[in-house]
Amino acid sequence: MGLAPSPPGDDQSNQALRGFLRREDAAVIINQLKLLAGGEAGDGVFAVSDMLALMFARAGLEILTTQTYSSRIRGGHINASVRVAEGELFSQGDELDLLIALDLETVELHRKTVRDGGIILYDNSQGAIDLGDLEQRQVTVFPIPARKIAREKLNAPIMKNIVMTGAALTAVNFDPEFEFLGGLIRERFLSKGEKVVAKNMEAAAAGRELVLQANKSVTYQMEKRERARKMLLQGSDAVSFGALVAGCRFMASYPITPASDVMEYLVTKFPKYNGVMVQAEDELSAINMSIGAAFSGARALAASSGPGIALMIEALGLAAVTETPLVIVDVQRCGPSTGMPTRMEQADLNLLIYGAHGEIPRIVIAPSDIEECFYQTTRAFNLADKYQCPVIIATDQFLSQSQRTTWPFDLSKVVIDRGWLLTDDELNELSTPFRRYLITERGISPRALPSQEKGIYKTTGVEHIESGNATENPDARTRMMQKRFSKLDTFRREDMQPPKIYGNPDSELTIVGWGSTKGVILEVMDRFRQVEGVDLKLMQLVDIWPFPDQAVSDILRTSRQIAVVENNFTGQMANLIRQQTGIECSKVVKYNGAPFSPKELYQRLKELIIVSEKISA
Amino acid sequence: MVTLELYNQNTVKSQWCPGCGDFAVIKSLKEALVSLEVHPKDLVITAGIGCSGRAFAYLNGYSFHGVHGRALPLSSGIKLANEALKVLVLGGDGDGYAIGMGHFPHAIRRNLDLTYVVMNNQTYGLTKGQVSPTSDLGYRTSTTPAGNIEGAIDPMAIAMSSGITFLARGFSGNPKHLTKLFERAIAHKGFSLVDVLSPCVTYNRVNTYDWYREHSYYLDEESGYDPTDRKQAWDMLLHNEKIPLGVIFQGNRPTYEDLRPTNSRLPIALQTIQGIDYAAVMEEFF
Repeated sequence: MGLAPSPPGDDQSNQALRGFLRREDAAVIINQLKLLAGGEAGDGVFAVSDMLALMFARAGLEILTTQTYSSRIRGGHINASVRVAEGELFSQGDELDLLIALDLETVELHRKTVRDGGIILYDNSQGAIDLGDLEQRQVTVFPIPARKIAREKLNAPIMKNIVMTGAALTAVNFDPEFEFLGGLIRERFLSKGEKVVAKNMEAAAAGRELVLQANKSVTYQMEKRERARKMLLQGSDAVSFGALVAGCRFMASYPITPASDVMEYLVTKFPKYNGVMVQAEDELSAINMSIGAAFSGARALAASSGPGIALMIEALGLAAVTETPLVIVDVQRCGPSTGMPTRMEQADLNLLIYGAHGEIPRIVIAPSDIEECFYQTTRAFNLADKYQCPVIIATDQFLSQSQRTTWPFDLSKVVIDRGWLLTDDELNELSTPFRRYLITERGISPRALPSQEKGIYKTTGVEHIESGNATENPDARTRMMQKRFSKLDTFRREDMQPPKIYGNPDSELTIVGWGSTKGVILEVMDRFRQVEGVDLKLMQLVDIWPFPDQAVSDILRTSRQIAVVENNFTGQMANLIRQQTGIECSKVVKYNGAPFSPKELYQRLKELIIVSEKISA
Repeated sequence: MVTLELYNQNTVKSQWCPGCGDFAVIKSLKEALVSLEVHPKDLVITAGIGCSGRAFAYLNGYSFHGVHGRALPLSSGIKLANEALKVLVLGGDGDGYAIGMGHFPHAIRRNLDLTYVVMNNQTYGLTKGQVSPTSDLGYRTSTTPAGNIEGAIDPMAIAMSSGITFLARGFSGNPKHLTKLFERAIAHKGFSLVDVLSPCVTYNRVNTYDWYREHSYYLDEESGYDPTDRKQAWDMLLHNEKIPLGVIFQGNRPTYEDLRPTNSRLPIALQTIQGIDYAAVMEEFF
């Protein structure tokens, strides 16, 4: 068709162009889209999905992305989904509106999940697909020979992704002038010269032309919306940035999927703030380095996933018994053993709250969204300093690697509280020699840092008396155990956050969630309200250990039905609730490596709640 | 003024057997620290588990007695967070060369400015006399009643091949020599290892003071041995029927602290983290 692009700012012609692909026989779907880009690892699938997500976010739309990949570098199918909407998004959604297939396998794997009336864009450089039922289901198919064009016309095979991106934007009637794509290309490639920018623009235009020339119509239209700027970031970004803002200046970790993002973020930021990230030889080393740095007085972090956390458990006890502040991040993945390294699970709960030989005080926090990833991480560093014990942040692969549009964090809300650190003057005024493990009512003792002359003390993983010197005296042992655990009583009084309630607080039908399941539960609750006319409430546990017994008990006692939704086999949170409160809950578990989809959770909860409600009625 | 008296403060009564080689190590360490005028407030002593690990409690200074085998990582964190501190790592052959061996070459290749003193008695003392990775072939213990069938490792060669910048071996039977080695090791900028032949008088009846005297000799730097010559050091380690004592190798390369990218040389742990504006960093998320 060769419709010439209109000059920017010409509203009328933009309108005409945008409407060009519109179908006449179906209602237009505006600003509601779930796309999935797929291909072989090494194809640049995430480059495509990342660019699309960022452009829609900059256009004032809401974004929620997911990544599905395997633990290898080349070969094997990988994909990323991007859900786009005008209103707030809570989950990755269900069916696909747009499938962007960089290879033929992707079409075969995902064609069934493309909804009727949806769109498939695929690279037909290596052959054509069998349309099968797609025509009947009114799926619009655009064959885009992106590889061929990139190789033969542009002489730059790598640009196939830009061809595909230009085509994808056009297929959903978005960015006809490449206002967003052009901006992004300039941002990313200007450092390589104007020629490279121009070439990429040429690639994008080639993709656009192919879609326009196909002369097919679609029901989708994406439009810019005015709103204040939002960020687009994933959970691990929020945790890492939270650590930086909290003043974390030391991190030691060992590379592990899906936790390495934290190392890779902080190592780029630390030089400017005089911090250091050490890639340790293993997780045994990583946690001990972090404990050492914390002993010197730095705010220190170690991040890992299940296998690495398991290795850190011995030293976790050392941190607790030497009362060294330490923050640990566990990005949970499918276990046990190597399990499925790139897939999500919430099966480390028992490990995180109980993992130790002997008994230690610790705090475990499970953020449930991007904001909580940030604010709870800054809080974790304060809690570690205040209570001088390990604080563990439990996220998972899904939350950690899912990008979401998020309001800017309120940095003025971040307060840094280093806890009870004695100054040189305070140390000089002591009438007795400094006692690092002074027994106090609140269980918290004063700290001194190496280089303070009056603060010299010895610390040991051996049981000790107030001075820090070793002991095997039964009474001293009893007092010191009580002292350490009384810190948790203080935490309960002064800092513990009760579970958060969402939905109708008066509903007697309670869903319990922890961590990343919150989003999908909220979405399903909305569906229940609209479809079934049933109000549910969600009790979301953020502070998980010490367990908020009283608050949970108060909330659950008045519930007629309780369903705990979690991604593990044994129902670890449901078991924990029963152990701590005596209240029995239904378990809604999933452990196949994928997060709950709204549709599936809706069905499972419907079976559980509606059916038994009818029986009891 | 740093005195021996200062180093005797804040200490506890020793739990070592009379005659233990480790006494000489502590005595020499104190003397070296005094002669280098290291104040105990600026010293952190770390230790692993074992008889030798107890040493942390026998001289003054900040100290951290960690879990078995992890003294090197612990020390690395302490030093990196405050480069102004002197960090002295104490342990034995079991702690350092068995359970902790995974960290040994890595700490060395990082070349952090740490001084690692291994009290090597070729046996497990605290657990009452089992075989160690430095025990000789045929050595009989409670876990090798028919004699050790595993060859001993050579920590000196491992240290050399990992890129150590100060390598020395001492003997508890010659505390004066030991003090000199410690002085040079602590003054060295970079990772220094002093492996001290330190007899266990209770469990090792083979490698006694006399046995070590018979089986060792002193490297003579005045008449030709040049520890800065890497080739000589290797030759000496590879072709020796007796155990050489003294500074085996001293090289020079930048430390991890020197190389880490940073805008500031302030001790990480002591800089302020209050009142910093991160708005520009957050901007990267838009």
